[in-house]
Amino acid sequence: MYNQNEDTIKSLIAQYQQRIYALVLYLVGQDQDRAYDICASSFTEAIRESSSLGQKEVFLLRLIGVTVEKCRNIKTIPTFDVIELLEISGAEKGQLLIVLKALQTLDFELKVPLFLRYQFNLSYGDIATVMLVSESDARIKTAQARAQLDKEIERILSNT
Amino acid sequence: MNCDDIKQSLQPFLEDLLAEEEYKAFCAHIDTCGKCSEYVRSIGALSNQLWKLGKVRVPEDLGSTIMYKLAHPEEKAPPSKFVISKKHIVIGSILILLAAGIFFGVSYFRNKQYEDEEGAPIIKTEVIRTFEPPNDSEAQSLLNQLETIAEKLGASGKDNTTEGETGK
Repeated sequence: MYNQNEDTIKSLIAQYQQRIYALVLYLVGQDQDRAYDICASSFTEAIRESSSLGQKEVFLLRLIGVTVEKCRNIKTIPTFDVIELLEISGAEKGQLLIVLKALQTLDFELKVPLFLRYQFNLSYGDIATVMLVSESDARIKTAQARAQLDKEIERILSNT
Repeated sequence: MNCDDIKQSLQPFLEDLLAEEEYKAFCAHIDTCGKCSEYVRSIGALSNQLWKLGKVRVPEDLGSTIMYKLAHPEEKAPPSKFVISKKHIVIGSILILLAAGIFFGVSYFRNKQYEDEEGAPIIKTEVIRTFEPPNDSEAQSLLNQLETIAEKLGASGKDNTTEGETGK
């Protein structure tokens, strides 16, 4: 399968590696070494297990599912490595760092729907499939995460 | 629509799920209410910020590592420079600690050899003993010995001069 689909695999990696790497990075406490390993093994596993790589949406859901499971099973110790954000101006970077700081206070189960919704633009149905919950639960968790994130950002801003 | 309605309708608004009537009412309220307008803008900004957080720099060799792993399922992928750095730091730190432990351990046991049972250094005791002043009788006997030696030397000196003079 590897030899036959080499170009397809390369294109899938190029298309999704940034968002998957970012997802892992934020789920494992910004540990870049660990994010690299998990990202590489998630791609490998998802590609090997996919019967057809032509259906990108199906592959992406499979890839996200594998990645989230791998991140869930590891013990995270926040390292707060310096993350290099691309195409972001200096002033905006300051605001993003506040959001990031607030994000790190959220539980794993709340962080996941936020990233899936706002970084991958997944529907609540797809978020439910990845998180193995019902669609309404996915909606509730996303709303809870959002509310908690807002509250945390307000707290950080009021302390500074 | 009032301010509470805005909070409840915000998520459907951001996802473009409001009915036409609701959408118009929503927009009409935020046009007139400064507080709600600010709230909607801040929440909209948050979605945007979460999306922007995904724009991280990916390690350059990630793609090649994945391809290598796929091509060599049984082998471990070649370690990335990026990945190995922390492991090296940990191993290096352990080696430094071990070396320091061995060094101080050896110095401790070496010093221990020159200490008596009470822990006092033996070398110092010996030095102090060497410079202890002799008592009176010892001093007297030493003086006598010195005088004897001086006499002998004097006598031999005289003999030498006599011999020298005779030679002339």
